[in-house]
Amino acid sequence: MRVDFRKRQAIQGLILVSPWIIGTILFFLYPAYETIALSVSELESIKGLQKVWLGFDYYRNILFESIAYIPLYQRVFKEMLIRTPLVVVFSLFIAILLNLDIKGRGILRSLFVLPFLLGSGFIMQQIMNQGLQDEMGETAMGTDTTSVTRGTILIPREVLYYLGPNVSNIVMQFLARITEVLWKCPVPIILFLGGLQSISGSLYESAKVDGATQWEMFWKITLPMIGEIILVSIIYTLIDMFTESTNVVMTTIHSQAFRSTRFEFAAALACVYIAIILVLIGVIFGIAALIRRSGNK
Amino acid sequence: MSFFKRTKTQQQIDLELAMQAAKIHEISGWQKLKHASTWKHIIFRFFTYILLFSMAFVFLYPFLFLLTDSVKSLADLTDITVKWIPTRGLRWANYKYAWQELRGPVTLPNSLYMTAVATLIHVISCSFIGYGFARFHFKGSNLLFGILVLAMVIPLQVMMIPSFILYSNVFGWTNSMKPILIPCIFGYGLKGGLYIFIFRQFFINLPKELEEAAYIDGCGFIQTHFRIILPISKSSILVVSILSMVFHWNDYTEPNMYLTNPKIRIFPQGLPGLYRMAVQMVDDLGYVIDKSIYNQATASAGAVLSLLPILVVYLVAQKQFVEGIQHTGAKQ
Repeated sequence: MRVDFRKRQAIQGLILVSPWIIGTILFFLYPAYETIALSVSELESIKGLQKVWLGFDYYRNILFESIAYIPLYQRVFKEMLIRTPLVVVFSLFIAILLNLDIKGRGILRSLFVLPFLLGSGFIMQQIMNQGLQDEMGETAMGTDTTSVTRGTILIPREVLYYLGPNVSNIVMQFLARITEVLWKCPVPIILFLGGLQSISGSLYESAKVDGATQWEMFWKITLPMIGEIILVSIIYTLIDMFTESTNVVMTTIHSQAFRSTRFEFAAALACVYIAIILVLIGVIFGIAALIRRSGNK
Repeated sequence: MSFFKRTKTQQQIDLELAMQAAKIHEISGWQKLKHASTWKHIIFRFFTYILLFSMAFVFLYPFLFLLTDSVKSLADLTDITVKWIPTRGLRWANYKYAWQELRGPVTLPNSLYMTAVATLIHVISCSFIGYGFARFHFKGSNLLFGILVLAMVIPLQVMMIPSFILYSNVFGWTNSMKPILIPCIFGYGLKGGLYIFIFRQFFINLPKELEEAAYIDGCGFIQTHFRIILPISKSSILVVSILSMVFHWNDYTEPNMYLTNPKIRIFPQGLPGLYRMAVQMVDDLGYVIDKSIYNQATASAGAVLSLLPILVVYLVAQKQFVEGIQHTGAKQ
């Protein structure tokens, strides 16, 4: 009886997932295989991707011989580790505020997703460069540690002159960091708003009847109910930063592939990059599974 | 989950009935600060507004710039003293030129068609697949989910050349929107994995009682998905359709690869060209050509035009965030 139920469930699950499995074979496994094959071979002609086996030369070059590439990875991953928690906490905070029953909520909700509506690509860069270059002058350009957009919160230049170069630089970098985080928030905000909306109001009501405070309700109801959405937001934020075409690794891959036409080397660079991010995501999923298990007890 | 399994006391049922009668059951607990004293309430609101509007300003600032830029005349653009308010009148013709250059009459319907179809397919297929991942456990389902995450992680650019060869040489999908639309059916396409993932996470949270009741009543699992699960997952459908819509609308990478025929080009594809022209008008000669109708202002107008449809749709959709509060249906 029990086995029967399991078997039926497996078949039903497979039927539901089957379109995706077909898609995976067609649109993912084949191109992925080609990319990996490219990274261990030499390209004879681009037409039809004719290649000859070469071995792991490119990987050896990236990991052990060249000093140019490891620091690039390090830089991207450092940025990612700093920014992701900030983005997730910030967006959860903003989403909770936007979910309050306040006047002008509709306008605020639209304002907070405005950057997302215009997309993160080409136009965004244009606007950021155009609008803020003359306002910010050289100070904003000084934030060379970050390769992100320059839509920084503004401080009047006069104030900066009084602060002196060192302090103003610190202030500017701090503000640049906050702004970067804010610009990354819209999609997690949308996710969290959806998550918060899916919590039934009666949970809060019954908790209130039992004498729970707002603070307790946040920890005991809101957080557990949107736990799964927090996981999505973390993964989304990571992947978004990781695949962003402006980060140093992606620009290197792009220039290697299309400017130096070393497709094979670019493929190897990408494979190393993806391997590292997969380890990171695996760790996050592991932690999530642990939390889920301890919550079920 | 334990909340749903606990049978409610008579007191709670009474309370719920009373709330339903008063029609306040739609307001969630966080939104109700009625018990807070008035002063605390006012101060709280005050700081909330200050905080939200100051953060929103960071987002708004460049867009205000975009808006004012789009109606500036050439003289205003080059005048260093003019920053926000155009002094030499509003030049609405910028919008006309941008519309012409982007070939609005042809490209806008294309864009609308592609976005609408892709979003619709994404919502249906990804919810279907996400339901399979959320509720059914079978041998290898974890492995499949791992592959899903892997597919999400790999940047489009990395697999660009093999997929291009696959679509155009093997399948022969040239001169059509097929390379963008057909993968959507199979849960791929632009960020398809993300939507499956989102649906899965939302479905995991849903109470199982409803489905069990449906099964007992003899409802098949596909029917259960469309009749029971989808109607109560308004907010996840909303989230996915907003994301899919906006990503498709703003995408350049794939359209630039596949939609090269002028007849099937989409609206925002022309924007980089507009901006390039604007830059060229300045860079080649060192100063702005007076006669040119394409400049920074025209480019900004084009950007505003491409933002407008998506903004309108979002304004309509975000209202659903308030109205679409879910009743999980687990009330007994």
